[in-house]
Amino acid sequence: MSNALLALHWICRSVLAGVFIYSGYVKARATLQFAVAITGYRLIPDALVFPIAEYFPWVEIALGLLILSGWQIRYVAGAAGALLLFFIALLSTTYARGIEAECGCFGFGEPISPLTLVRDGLFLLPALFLVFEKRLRAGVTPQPTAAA
Amino acid sequence: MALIAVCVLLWCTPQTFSETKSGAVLGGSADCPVRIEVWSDFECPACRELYLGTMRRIVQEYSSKGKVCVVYYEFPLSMHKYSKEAARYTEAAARLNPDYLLPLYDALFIDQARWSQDGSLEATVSKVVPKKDLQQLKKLMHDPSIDSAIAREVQIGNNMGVKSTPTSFIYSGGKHQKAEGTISYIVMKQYIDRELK
Repeated sequence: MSNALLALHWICRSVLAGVFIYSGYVKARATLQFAVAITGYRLIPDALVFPIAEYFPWVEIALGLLILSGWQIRYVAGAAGALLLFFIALLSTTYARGIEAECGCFGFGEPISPLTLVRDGLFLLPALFLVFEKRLRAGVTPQPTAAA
Repeated sequence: MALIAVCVLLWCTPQTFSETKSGAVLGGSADCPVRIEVWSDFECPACRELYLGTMRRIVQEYSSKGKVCVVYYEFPLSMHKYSKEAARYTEAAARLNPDYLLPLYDALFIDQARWSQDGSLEATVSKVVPKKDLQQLKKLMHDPSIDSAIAREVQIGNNMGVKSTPTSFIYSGGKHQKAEGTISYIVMKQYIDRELK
């Protein structure tokens, strides 16, 4: 069982790190297009759009690299999960307001839709696993019994 | 580490672009450190927003100081009934007298709501082009080379991956950024200021 959990740990870490590094990379290469996508949400003041477009992708890349390194993984995965929840909330409210905007998650030209929201929601799973992994291990690891 | 190296390499590799010599230069010159090329359709509302809200101000504030060259290319979309005719007017006007170009762009985008409904392009054009030149302009519009020029710009756009309007390419420091859709003036200004540093 612990081997299975270890394998799951590496899968979750790789997937989550890959998602954030790739997402950050795509946005860092197309700063202006990312700025256009942010403007489309009609939530962020214009003066903040470009600074966010310029620096935020590097936050994502840094987060992905931290996840990959394994350093303080519970807390870093927790931060990644919180960020994902923020994205989902942002995209959901934009969609609910009837605004046709780009998702901007892994490239451009993809509009926000229930499918993109579900997809982003699924990425929460590896983050949640990494946050609660210690408890899961404690739950499956047999406890030593007292000697008779 | 390999993943990081690949990312850095791809990030550092400059994206190449093809030099084009056609298009309507609305401001600036080839010497400007920043060049903005826009593929646009006169009947497209987003193009109107980009031109009137952003590019017009960029031309006034940056092109006049030799910092940004703004070039517009025709990309009339088939779903817009009068956009090709509008493109013919501007191509012909540029050949007749380049001084007509910017006022004509202003007039066509400002009056877009009206002429896109009733096709009254000539009424808009006549606000800019005096009567003495209007007949010559209308004759020039039907010269086959005008349609060829428009078709050439559309082909260049297709080759560069333009799929919708407006699509902008901003060139500076040997690299370029592509952006589809309307870019607000503040965002464009911040981007240009960063590139000019």
